[in-house]
Amino acid sequence: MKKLNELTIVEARELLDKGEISSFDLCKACLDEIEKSDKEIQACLLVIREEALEKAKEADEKLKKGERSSLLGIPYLCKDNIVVKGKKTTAASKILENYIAPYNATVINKLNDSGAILLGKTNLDEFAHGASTENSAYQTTRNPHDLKRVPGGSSGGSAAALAANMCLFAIGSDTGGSIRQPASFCGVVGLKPSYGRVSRFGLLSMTSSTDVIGPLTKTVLDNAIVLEAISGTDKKDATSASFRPEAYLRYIETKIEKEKDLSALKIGLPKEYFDKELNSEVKEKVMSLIKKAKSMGAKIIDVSLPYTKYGIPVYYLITPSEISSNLARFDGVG
Amino acid sequence: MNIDKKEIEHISSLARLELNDKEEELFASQISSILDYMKILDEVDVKDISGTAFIGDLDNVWRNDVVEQWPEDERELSLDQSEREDGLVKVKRVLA
Repeated sequence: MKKLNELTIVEARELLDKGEISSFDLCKACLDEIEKSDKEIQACLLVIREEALEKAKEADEKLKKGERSSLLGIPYLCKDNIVVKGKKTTAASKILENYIAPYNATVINKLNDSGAILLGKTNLDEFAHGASTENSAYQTTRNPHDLKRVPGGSSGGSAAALAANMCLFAIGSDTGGSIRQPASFCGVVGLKPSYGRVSRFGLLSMTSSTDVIGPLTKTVLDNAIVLEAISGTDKKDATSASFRPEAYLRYIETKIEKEKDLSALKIGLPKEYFDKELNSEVKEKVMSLIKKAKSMGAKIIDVSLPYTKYGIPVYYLITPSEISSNLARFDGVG
Repeated sequence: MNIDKKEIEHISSLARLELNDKEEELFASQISSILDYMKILDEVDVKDISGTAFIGDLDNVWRNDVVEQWPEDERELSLDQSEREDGLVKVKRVLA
């Protein structure tokens, strides 16, 4: 039997809705895990235990009355470059050591509306500039799978906390890999949604033209649930997308989870990503997954992305240029 | 591209950084090699491509630029742990 803090969102949702577990016990299990293991892992910059447990009791009342919403009573942690009203938002910098945000990011409001419960804020490379979470001005986060290794970054606190079961999901931000790379280092699912899918309002800007907020979860289905909760048009983000997400959540639930059917999917393998520099163990793992996807009906196609080698030089022109102007202020307004 | 010592002196004075001779030499060679690396972009043929700011299918989201009143106690809360001078927030030096 899994411990409560080890549950996925889907598993917890079912047990909460049936009244077999309470949000209070679920949140407490996560908070206890933080207390127990974060001295070593150093993933959290802020933990709001009492407030979270109060919110959990309120969620339990709502559940008892028959109220239902996708994340009602589900505990999460949020990267500390996203503002939460009345809470410190430091971006892991001493410059913002005393900064208490006066408003909520749109993502935080949306998660509140879905009933999710914030447990605290997670560590990052200072202002999200880095890829290892060693660049925090406060602490170095460790990889829970091997404390001698880094968790990746810059959303390393979120990835490590989730991998250590301190929460059921975590929120990160990705400019040039800052969700996907730490998720991969820590063995969790991290998604950089399409630009504009999730509002950037309340995210301390790094590179406005590629910054995106996204979910880190234990499974792909959980990721779709969180993405559905946080995505959508926002008047306060001038580059937020007006198109609505397709029904990916339903697709994953029925076709992939229930029927194990991937026949409608085409998976491209860019040959530039499989060059001789690729670690052989990583390649082996990827290939075995591709084999599995194929056996479930997916079409595997060899493709070429000939501009791959220009990605890094373009990134290093755009990113430092935008950082130079964005870091003149830290207000989280686009 | 070769960045010489004179240019490094100019950049460091703009950035208010004091560099010694050894550092000036080191950074001149490092910045030169970074700029050389960027040269790889020169080989891409872009003559038939018009200026592109964005590849996604996005429209600007417009709203009126209206100042919203913010409760004074909330403004104070966000600053009350900081030292202030002439309406500005003072922070300690963060770079050594």
